[in-house]
Amino acid sequence: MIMGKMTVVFAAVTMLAFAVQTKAEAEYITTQDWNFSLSFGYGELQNPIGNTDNVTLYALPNVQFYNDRFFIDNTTVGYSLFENNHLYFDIIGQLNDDGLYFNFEDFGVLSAIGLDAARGIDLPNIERDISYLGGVGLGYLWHDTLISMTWLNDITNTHHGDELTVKVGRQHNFGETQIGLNLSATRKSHDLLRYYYQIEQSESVIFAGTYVPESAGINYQIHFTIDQPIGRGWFLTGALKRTFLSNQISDSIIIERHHIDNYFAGVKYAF
Amino acid sequence: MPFSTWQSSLIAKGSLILCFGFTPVVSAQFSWQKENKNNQIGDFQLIPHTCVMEKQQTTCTRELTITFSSHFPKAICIYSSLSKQPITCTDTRTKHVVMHSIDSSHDITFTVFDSQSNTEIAKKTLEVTQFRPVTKRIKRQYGIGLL
Repeated sequence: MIMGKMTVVFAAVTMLAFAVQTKAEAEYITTQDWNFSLSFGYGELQNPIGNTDNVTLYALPNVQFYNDRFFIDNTTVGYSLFENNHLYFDIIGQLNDDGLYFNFEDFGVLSAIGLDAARGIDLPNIERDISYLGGVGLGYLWHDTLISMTWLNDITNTHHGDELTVKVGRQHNFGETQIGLNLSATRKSHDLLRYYYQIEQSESVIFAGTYVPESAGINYQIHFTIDQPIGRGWFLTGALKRTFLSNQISDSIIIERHHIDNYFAGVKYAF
Repeated sequence: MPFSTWQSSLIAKGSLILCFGFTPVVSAQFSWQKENKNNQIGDFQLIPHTCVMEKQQTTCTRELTITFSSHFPKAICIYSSLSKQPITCTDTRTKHVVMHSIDSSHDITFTVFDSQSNTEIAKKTLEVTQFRPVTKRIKRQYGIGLL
């Protein structure tokens, strides 16, 4: 199964690498228009925490709005201090992923959109809050490829940590088919990792022992998307994201995976 | 025969040519036709039917060509929503052409009245809009969190 997913990803990388350069319309978005779409299908979010079930996805919303300065891009909001056709510098706020793993069952928004958050076994005493991060983002569009960097710090007084992400992303049109590929590396600070993945003896009801991350760690991600129009406003859609967890996370006694595979496939309607 | 008894069969056709740039000019043509049960037609046109303001402008200044034509000679008065006084009142004929300057930040409705019966026989609105160029920004590609 995993090999199959990776095959698709590598095929996409190859296709994009040899793609003929076309105008970069896929890299831009029209301002003042709300872009809202809703996908129906089947997907799965793997929870790296042991003794938990994966989360099943039946619906997936997507919302984007950009005006002259401000933008909303799903769970990210931002304000651009500078932007031209190739370069931008933003102030942004973004939801941290790590906290979600501990709060799927409580995250009403996810439940509302069709997430089945049933756990195999509850996690007594292991409670972690979701955090929201704020910081800056810098991006440069180079030959249809977006090279970006974000530095985000905890603004919810949750863990006082930060994340630094470097990403290379590209969206390309092959005829009517739009394919997107993002490769990224995220350095999560020691404070962030200690808050989420350090386990005290008092929390070790299910997971025997304790764990303290030794340092900051770097996650690597590969994210592939595809949209194929099939009718007025309708698309076949697919998304696949693999996250390779840093050793500082995967070594935690509550983590049972070295990588996380999240995917979704179905039909999308763009309003 | 009073025009107020006309059936409300409306045929609209129009074309719009937008001139993007620094000239807030719209060249357009629009005709609005009423047809009564005796197949009499009154044709009311505003050229242009849209006035576009530049980004810096607060009002739109244009000269309109207002045309009303009918199969049978009529005396008419043409009013705008900006004034209770008529723009013009004409003698009896089949085609009436009036040049009229406007300076407004809002839509203006023009109404044609039959002078003899004092009934409304045609109405058309000039749309006043702000020029808003289509702009694009770099898509940030943040995705949907976990997916």
